Amino acid sequence: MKEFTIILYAGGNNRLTTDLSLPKSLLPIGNRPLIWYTLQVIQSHSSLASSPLIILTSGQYRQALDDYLSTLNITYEIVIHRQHHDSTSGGEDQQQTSDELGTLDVLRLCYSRIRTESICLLTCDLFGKVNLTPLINMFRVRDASLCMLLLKTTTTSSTTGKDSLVQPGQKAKFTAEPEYYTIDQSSNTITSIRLKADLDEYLPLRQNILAKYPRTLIRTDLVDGHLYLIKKSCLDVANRSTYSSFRKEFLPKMIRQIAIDKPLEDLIFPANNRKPMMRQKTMDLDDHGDLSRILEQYDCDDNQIRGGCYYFIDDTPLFRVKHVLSYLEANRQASSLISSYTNEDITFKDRLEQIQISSDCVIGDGHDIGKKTTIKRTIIGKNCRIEDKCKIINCVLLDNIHVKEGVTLQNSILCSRSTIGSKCEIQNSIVCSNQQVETNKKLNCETVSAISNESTGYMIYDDEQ
Amino acid sequence: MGKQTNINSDYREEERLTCVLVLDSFNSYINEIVSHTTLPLCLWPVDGQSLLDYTIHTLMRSGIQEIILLATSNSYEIRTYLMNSHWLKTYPKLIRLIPCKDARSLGDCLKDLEQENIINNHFLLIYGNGTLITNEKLNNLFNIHKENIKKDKNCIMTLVYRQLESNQFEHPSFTDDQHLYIIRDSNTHRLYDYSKEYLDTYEIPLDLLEKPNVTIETLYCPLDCHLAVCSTDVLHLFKDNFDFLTINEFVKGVLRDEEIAGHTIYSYLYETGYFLSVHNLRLYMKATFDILRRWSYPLVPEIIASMHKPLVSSTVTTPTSPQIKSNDSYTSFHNMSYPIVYDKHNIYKQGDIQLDRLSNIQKDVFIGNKSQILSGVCISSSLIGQNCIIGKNSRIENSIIWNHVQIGENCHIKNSIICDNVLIRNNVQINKECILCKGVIIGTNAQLKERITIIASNSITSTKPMDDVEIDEDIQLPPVDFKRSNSKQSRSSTRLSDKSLPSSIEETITSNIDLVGSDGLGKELIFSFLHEHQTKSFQATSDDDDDDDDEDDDNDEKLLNPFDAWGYRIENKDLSIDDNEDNNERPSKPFVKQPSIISDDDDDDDDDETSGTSGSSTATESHRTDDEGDVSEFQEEVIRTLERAYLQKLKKENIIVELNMLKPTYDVSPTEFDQSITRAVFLLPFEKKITNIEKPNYWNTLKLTMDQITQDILKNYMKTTNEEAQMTLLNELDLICLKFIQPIGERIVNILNYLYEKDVLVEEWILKWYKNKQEKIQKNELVIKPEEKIYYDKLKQFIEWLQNAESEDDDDDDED
Repeated sequence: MKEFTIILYAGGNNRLTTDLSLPKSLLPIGNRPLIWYTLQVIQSHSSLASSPLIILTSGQYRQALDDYLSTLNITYEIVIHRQHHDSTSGGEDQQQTSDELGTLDVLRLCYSRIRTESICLLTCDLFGKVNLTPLINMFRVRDASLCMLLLKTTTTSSTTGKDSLVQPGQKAKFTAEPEYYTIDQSSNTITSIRLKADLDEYLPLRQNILAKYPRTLIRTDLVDGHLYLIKKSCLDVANRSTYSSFRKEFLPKMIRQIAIDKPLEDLIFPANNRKPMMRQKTMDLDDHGDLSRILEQYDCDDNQIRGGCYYFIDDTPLFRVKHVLSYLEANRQASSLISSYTNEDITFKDRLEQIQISSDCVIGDGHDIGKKTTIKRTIIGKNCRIEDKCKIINCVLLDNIHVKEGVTLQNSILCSRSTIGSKCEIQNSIVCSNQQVETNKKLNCETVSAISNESTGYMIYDDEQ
Repeated sequence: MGKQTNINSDYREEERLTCVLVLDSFNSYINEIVSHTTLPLCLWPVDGQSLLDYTIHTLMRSGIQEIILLATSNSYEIRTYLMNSHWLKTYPKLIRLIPCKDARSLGDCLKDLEQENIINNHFLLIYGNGTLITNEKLNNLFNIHKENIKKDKNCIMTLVYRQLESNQFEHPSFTDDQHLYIIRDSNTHRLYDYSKEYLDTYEIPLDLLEKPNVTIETLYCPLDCHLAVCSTDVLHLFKDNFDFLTINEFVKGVLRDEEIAGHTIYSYLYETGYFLSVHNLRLYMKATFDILRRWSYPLVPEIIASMHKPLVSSTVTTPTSPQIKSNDSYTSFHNMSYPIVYDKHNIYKQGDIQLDRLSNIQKDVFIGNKSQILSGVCISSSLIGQNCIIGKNSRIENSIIWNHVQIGENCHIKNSIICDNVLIRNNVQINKECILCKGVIIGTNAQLKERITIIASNSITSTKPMDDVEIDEDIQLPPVDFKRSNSKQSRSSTRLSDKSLPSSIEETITSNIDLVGSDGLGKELIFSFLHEHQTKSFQATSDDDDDDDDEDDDNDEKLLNPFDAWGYRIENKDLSIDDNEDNNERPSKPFVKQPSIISDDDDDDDDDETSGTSGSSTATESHRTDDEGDVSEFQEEVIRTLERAYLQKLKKENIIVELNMLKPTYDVSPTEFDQSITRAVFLLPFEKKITNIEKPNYWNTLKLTMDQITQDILKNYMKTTNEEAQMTLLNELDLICLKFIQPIGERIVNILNYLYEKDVLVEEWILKWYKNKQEKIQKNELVIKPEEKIYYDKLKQFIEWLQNAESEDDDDDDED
C-alpha cells in the first residue's frame, strides 16, 4: 500500500486569455503548461512519484487536460467537479485562495477514492524547484498531523530588475492579504494562522497556546505554498465537517485545535466550551514533571498520538503563479528550471541572419521572424509570426500571434491569436486573446480585451485552491 | 589575597563592574514570616552558607568588582552578617551596604541609591529578593547591554530571562509570581509589550506586526531571573516618577511613554545555564535542593566550603571572633565553615556528624556539623543544619531544618521549613509547606496540616525601631572598623538573646493547644495586615497623621502582593468588596483562618491596633447601619472611581459619565447618590494611593484632589441653584467632620473657604444651613460633645468671617 495519495487541484480558470477552453493548469510557461511543472515536483520525490495521483478539474477542462496528460508518461485519474463560473468571476478577493469553489466540497467528491493513510494536497500553480525531502521527512519523523510548505514573500521577482516590476495591464494594485503565522522555531511547529481580514486591531494570542509554546515568532513575511501533507484521520474530520474551504476555514481551525490539545472532532460539532487557563501545577518539589514529560516523548512504545502541525520554509526561490507579475517571473525562470529537471535546454539556439535573439529567449516551433528584429528575455509560443524591424524585450507571447512590422513591445503579455498592427508601441500591457491592436497605437499600462469593463484583468488566473 | 590585589590594580572607576542587590522581596507575607525567624530571607541558610553568600559567589565568578547591597528593614542583620563574613576581610572594597530604612518598595530603594550618587555607569540590578544563583558568568551581560546601546542609544535597560521549555507550569523553578508575557523583536530583542496580568487572551496591535524589519516574538513565562542591566538613567527615572514602585511598573511606564520620552528596553534570553532567583519560600526550597543535586555546579557546597577555608583559620586567629560565635548563633552558622565531605548519592557531611549505622540517608542530603542522626532515621532530599538531633525512626523528606533543632521519635516531616531552636516531640506529623518559626515546640502526637506557619512569638525582631535608630548612623560608615562594630555587635546580640529566651516567649504567646498539642508552644501566624485590613480605611482616619503614613504604606505593600509567601497567586482578591465580607474574603487562601485564639492575643502591637480602631470602626458601623448595603458599596465604588480619576488624570466629563452609569447599577436614590459623592470626595484623601508622599497631611491632599478633579464633580452634582443638593453637601460634610474631628473637622475653615471661593458653595446656603444647625443646637436636638467643640468653634469662626465679608461686599457694591 502506498503512503500518499496525491490530490492535485487543476480546475482553475484562466482569465488572461478569456479563452475558456484553456484551463489555468495548461497555461504555457516557457512553452510548457503550468501543470507540467507541478508534475515535475511530484515526480522529483520517489515516494510521491509512485503514489496514486488524483487530478481534480472541472467539466469543461477535462478534455483539454486529458489530451495533454495522455502525452505524458504518468498514471492519473481525473475527477470532475462542476464549476460555478458566475461565482468566480469578479469576486473581490480573488487573490485570496480558496473559498469560492469550496475546496473541501470538491474534495468530498473524490474522498472515497483515497485509500492511503496520508494525503498530499497541492495546487498546480506552485512554480519552482521544490525539494520535498525535508518536508516529507518531517512528516514521517514527527508523525505529524499536518505538514505545510511556507514560502517567503520576498522571493517573488526578487531576481528581476527594478523596471520589470511594473505590472503589465491596467494599473491595479495587487496587494496580498497579509496573514500572520505564529510559529515555534525550535520545533517548526505552526501554532496559528490568522488572516488580517479576520482581525480588528489586535492579534489575539490565547493563553493556553502561549503556555504550550512559550516562545513563538509571528511572521508576516510568509505565504502558504499550498502544499500540504496531511493524515487521512484529519481529513476525515474535514470531510465530515460543514466547512467548504480547506485553506480558509478548516486549516486554521485544525491548527488551533491541535495547538490546544483538543480533539479535532470538535470541529464537526462545534462545542463552545473554552478551555480554562493553564495554571501552575502544585506538586512536590521532588517531582520532575518536566523531565518525565521529556522522557515520555522519547518513549517510542508509548501509544499516544503525537501529531502536531509543522511547517517547512523553503529557501529556494519558489512562488505561486497567481498574478501577472509572478507569471512573467515564472516565464523568465522557466528555461533554467526545465533544464534542471530534464537537462533539456529549451532556449532558442538557432542563429538567424539579421535577427538578434538573445540567449535567454524561448521560441516555439513554427516561428517566422522577420529581419532586423531584436528579441530579448522573451518567451514566444508556437506558430508566431513576427515581421521585420520589431523590438521585443521582456515579453511573453503565447501561440499564434502576429506581430506586424516595426512594433516595439516591452514588458507585456500577448495572448494567443492576437494581432498587433504595425508600428505599435506597447509597454506594460496585456493583450487578450483574439484581439487586434490597430496600427500606430501606443499602449502603456493597459489591458486590451473583448470585455471592456474587466476590472480584474490584472489577474491572470482564478486561484482555485 | 592574590585576587584582591588584582582587582585593586585593575581598578578604574569607569570600568568597574557594579552590581546592585536589593535585599527585600517586598512581599508582606514573606516579610511577616521572616520577621519570626530572626533572619531576613536573603540570609536563610542554603547548604552550609546563606543565600546571600551564594549570590556573592555567583557575582565573584562573573568578575563583578563592586557589590552594592540595598537593605531595607533588615539592614541590621545583613550588616552584622557581613561584618562576620570573610568577604569584608578578603575583599574590603567589594561590598558596600546602603541601608534604606524607609524604603517600602524597590522604587524607594533605587531612589535612595540615586541620592547616594555613587552609580555613574551601567550596573547590574538584582531585584526580587536580591538573591540569584546561577552558574553563568554575568559579565557578558554588560557587553550585551552596551551592544544594545550602540544600536539604539535610547536603550536604558536590558532585562534578563532564562528560557523554559514548554510546560513551564510544571517546571519547579516557575512560581505564579513570575507569570509574565513579553512581546519583543526577535532580531533586536527590543521589548514592545510586557504584562504580568493573567489573561485568557493577549493581544498584539496589528500595526506593530506590520512594522518593517520587525519580527515579533512572544515569550510566555520565561524564567524571570530578576536581573537587569541598567543605565544610570534608570535611577533618574525612578527618582522622577514616584509611581514606579516595582520593576514591573517601571517597564510598563517606560514602554507606555516610549513615544514621549523615547526610552527603550531590551531583553536577553539565556537558553542554557542554571538560573534561580530566590524570592519566595518555594524557590528557597528549590534552590536548596538544586544545589544539593548539583544543578548549580560549580556552586556546590563542598566547593564553596573549600573557598572559605582561609576563613576558618582567620576566625581562629581573630581574637574577637569566638566571642561573636558564642553570642550569636546565627552569625556563627554562616561564619563557621567546616570542611564538607561529598559522598555518592549527593550526600554532604559537614564537619563532625554522628550518623547511626542503622540510619538510612537516601540521597541529596546535607548534614550540618555536630548533628546527630539516630537509628532508623530515613532522610531524603533534605538539609539538616548544625547541632540538630533527629530522633529514632523519624522520616524527613524534602525539608529544610535549620540549626539546633531537635526532632523526636517517629516523626514524619514533609516539604517543610523548620527554623532555629525548634523542638519537635515524638510522633509528630508535619505536612507539606509548613513553616515552624524560631523557638516553636510541637507537642507529642501533633499533626500539622498543609501550609501552616507556626510562630512562637509575636515580636517582630528584625524591625525594632529603638535599636535601629542608633545602628542606622553607624551603618553609613564603611564597616571596616572592627573594634567598634564588634562592640555594637555584642550589644545587639544581647538584644537578640533576650528575645530568644524561653521565658520571654512564654510571656508573649498563648499557644494554640489544638494545633501544637498540650506540651507544645506556638500558634498559627495570622498575617497582621490582613487582620488590620478589616478596618482599613477608617482605622487610618482615627489615628494621628504619623501613624496614617505607616499604615498607608503597609496597605500599599499589600496591594502589591497578589502572591503569597510561596509564590502562589492569591485569587479573588477584590479589595473593593472586602469591607463587607471580612470573613469570607479569600476563601481560596489556605492560611487565612481565624482561630478563636486570636481574642486571647495579648501582643502589644496587635492590641494597640485593635483598640485604636475599634472605636472608630464602631462609629463607622453605626453610621453605616442607616444606609443600605448597596449604598456603602456604591460609595466604595465612587471612591475607587475618583481615585482612578485622580491618579490617571482623567477628564471630568468621563468621570461624570462613569458615575452616572454607576447610579442605576447600585440602585441608589438621588439623595443617597449626592451623599455618597460628597462622602467619597472628602474621604478620598485617605486612600492610600493618593496620600501625598512628601506631606501626609489631610488638607494638602484634599486640596490637591479638589484642584484636580473633585471640585468639578461637586459642582456638577451639587448645583448652587439647587438648595436641596447644597444642603445635602453641607450636612454630609458636617457628618464627616464630626466623625473625623482630627484631620477633617479641624480644617473646616479651610475646606469651606475653599469651596466658597471655588463657587462650589454659595454663602446663601451656608448661612441658611448654619442657622438651621444653630436652631437645633438651641433646641438641644444636637449635643456638642467636648471633643467636637473645636469643630464648632472653627465653624463659627468661618461663618462670622463670611458674614463680614458679605457686608463688605455689599459695601463695595454700594460704592460702585
